[in-house]
Amino acid sequence: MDPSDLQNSRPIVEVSSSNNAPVVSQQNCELGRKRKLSTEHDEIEDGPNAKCPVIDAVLSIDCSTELVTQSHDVNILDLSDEILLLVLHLLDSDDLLPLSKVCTRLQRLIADKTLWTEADFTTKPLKTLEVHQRIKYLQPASTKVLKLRGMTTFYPSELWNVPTLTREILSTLEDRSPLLEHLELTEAYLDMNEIGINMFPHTLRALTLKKCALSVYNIHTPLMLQPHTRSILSNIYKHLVRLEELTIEYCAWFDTHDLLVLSKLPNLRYLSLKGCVNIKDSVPYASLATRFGFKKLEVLDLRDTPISDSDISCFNTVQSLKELRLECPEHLRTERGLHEYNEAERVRVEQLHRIAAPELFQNNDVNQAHNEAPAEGAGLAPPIPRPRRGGLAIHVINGNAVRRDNRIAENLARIIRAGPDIIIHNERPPPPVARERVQGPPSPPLEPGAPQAIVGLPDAADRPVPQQAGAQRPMEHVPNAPLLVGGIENNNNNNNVDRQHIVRIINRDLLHHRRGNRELGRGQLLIRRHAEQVQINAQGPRAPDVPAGRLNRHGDGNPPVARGMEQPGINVQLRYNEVADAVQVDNQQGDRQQQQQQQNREQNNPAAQHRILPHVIIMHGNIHENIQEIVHNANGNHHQLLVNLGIGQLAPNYVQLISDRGISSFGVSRNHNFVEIVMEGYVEPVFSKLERLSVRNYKDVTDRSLDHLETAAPRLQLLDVTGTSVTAQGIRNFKLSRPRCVVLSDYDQMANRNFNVANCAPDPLQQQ
Amino acid sequence: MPTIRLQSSDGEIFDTDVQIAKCSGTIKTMLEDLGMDEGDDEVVPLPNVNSAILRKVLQWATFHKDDPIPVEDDDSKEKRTDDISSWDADFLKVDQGTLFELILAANYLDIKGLLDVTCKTVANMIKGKTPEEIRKTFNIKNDFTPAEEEQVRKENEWCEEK
Repeated sequence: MDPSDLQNSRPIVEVSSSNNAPVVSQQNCELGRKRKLSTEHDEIEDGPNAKCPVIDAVLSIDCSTELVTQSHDVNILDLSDEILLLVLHLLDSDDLLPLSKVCTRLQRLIADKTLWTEADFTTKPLKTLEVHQRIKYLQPASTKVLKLRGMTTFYPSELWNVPTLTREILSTLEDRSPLLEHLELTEAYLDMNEIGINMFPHTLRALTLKKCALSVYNIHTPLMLQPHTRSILSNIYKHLVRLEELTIEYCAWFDTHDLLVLSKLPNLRYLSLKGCVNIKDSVPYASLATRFGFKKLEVLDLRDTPISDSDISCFNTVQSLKELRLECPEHLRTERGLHEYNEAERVRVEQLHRIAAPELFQNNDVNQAHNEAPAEGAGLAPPIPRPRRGGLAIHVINGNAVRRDNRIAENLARIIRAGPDIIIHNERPPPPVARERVQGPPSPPLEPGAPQAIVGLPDAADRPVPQQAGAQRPMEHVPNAPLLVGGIENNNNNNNVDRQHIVRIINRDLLHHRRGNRELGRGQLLIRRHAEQVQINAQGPRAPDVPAGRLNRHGDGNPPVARGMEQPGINVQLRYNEVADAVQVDNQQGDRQQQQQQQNREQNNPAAQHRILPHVIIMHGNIHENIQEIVHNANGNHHQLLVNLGIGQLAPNYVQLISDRGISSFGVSRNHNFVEIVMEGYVEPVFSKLERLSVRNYKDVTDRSLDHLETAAPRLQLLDVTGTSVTAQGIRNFKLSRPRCVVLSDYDQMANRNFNVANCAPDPLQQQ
Repeated sequence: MPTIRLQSSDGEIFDTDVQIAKCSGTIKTMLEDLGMDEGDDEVVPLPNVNSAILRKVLQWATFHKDDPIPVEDDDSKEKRTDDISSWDADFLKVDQGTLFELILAANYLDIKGLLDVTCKTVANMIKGKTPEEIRKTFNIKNDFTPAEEEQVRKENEWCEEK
């Protein structure tokens, strides 16, 4: 208490005192003095008296009555449990922990179950042990919500990736909170090698993962040492059957194929994938997922994702959908941002292409592989699709002037039964590589640097072969130099078509095998294996024109590959370029004759025109956002398959923003002309059941969308078109015909206010 | 303006505007239940509140008499404690004893707004403190046995290791 203040306050108080005789107990007088003064002081200093009409009662009392106040200060522990709990309820879970160590009474109070119905430990990032300790406070009878914050914001400091959840924690959690309904993990690091979704409490109704990182991103552990990593979400539908709300926000690991898993969740009502950057190009999965799953999905949040019209239109088949939230990511809102994104995408794709298939356009030299841009043989960048982690990707490498053949694709699909997650992409042909570079000294076992070949692992493994063959190693695939075509195709050197069909399979198991081989006596093992593979595969489709005795030259006594019957379709053979090349070189003299044979055969067999003469290259690639990481690890858990089928040109994976087309895919409006282009034959002409639609900051959304929604979405109650290109007139028209629908737009003052609010708490719709 | 006479535990009589007195759920109920007419000279005894605290309470009630009745929604149980108005904050710049007495009075008189704001003030005093700091702040005696103490200490160490 400031004494001077007291002095000032005193006279005023006395003036306001009345003559009412106070009942004062004398012994309290002394002790109460101090308290009395402080009370007076506060009263005056605060100035409430001046502000408000001072009530008579206050003015009329004698201040000396205050002396009656209890002599001893009331201690916090004098409050009843009931009142203390009121206070405790105002505290975050993190603040309760120290209280439990203050004294026994508080410790007992902290254990009150009503304090732990919602355990919110998000005020500070938690390390593993801290999580474990906090879990113990949960109350079995009451805890229904648990929120934890992990350490990933500390990246790249040392502790950023301490696991937020471990097996132990999850099992404790099961004991401590058998009723848990909502688990929220923010910035958590989850080691999916240790835990799985099947260890999460099966009672969950809501699961929230925000900005979480998964162990697959752990670049410290060599990936080869890690067990096969599955998606965190695999089998989630079997385990979390009660799940109604799933929020996965700003998680880069979420991939499009995860949609299939999520679609199987039987009770999912709410799905937010806000800010998941890899949701782009989800049509293959989203179309299936929405057709067969998502039966109860009501709210879908895809804001802040680079999603396109095609992606979003997949969700028009979800009949239960009532609310859809879309918002253009901030960095894509301007032309420049879009351009930068696409340019970065192009560059990235280019690099990935080089890394994914370096042997296509360069030599053993690994450094060259990623330091040197590929020769722009086609005059165009060779974009490949965005890599898909966790799945098998088939890349179709385009050739020059190759006719399209559906059978090829069909055969391919038949042969490659690698797994459920198959994506087929197109690739441009790799640029040719200067032949000179190819001519490495053929002494593979002597090349210790060979294994270091990053994605070029095949190279390393392949090297022994050419040596044995005693031949130079020409470039695998040089479109403009027919003579360099692989050995199997040796006889078809004049046949451009054949040359352009190259199948590449990257297979993890084989890679392991090969690695093992490399570590043992390389050459022999490799060759033997190689020969076996050739045999096996050669029995199937068309056998190549393998000159007799060719394999014998490998020196391991394997019989030569038998000539098979010719078949159109895909011929998957495990051959290495080096072999082929070697053979080719060796057979230079016989070429003419063999070509002759080949041509004859082809004339007899029209299907030969379409046949593929592939060789298979085993390659291991974990294509990752981070190129450097790929380069250094050169492995991973995901298979990749490159197929050259000469189909079409690849459309670059540029982002396409939501436009009228996407919006118009919801429901059918009276303007059928416009709509039928989009979805004729795909959806039954039904009205959209959307009740709330938010399409924000998409410049390509115009009055046309409004016009469409006017009739196509009769249940619409809330429409947010803030930041789009709709006009005031368009809004007026919409409002005229749909007076009950609230429209938020740039033209509406109300909306502007909301928009501002939304900037602070960007979730105006969440409140529903 | 109708008034009501409130008598504190120490016998002091406060002539109070009925409207203000009705901030207290207890008084409001009593008035309604007893059907006390305006102008009655009867005194309402408040045996649990002394005059100093009652004066503060009435001061608070006077300032907040026009506040809207707080909506009871259990769903939005926000744990916000930083939304104390500046007037309230100034009003509650009192020593701990007074603060706790205000809480007791607010609880007894059933004045939700005052109870809220006082509890929040106490919560803010607790927030972010270590156990030792809390003991100091509130003058709480550590009544853990040495064995318990040791266990607590170990636990702390254990969790602060990493």
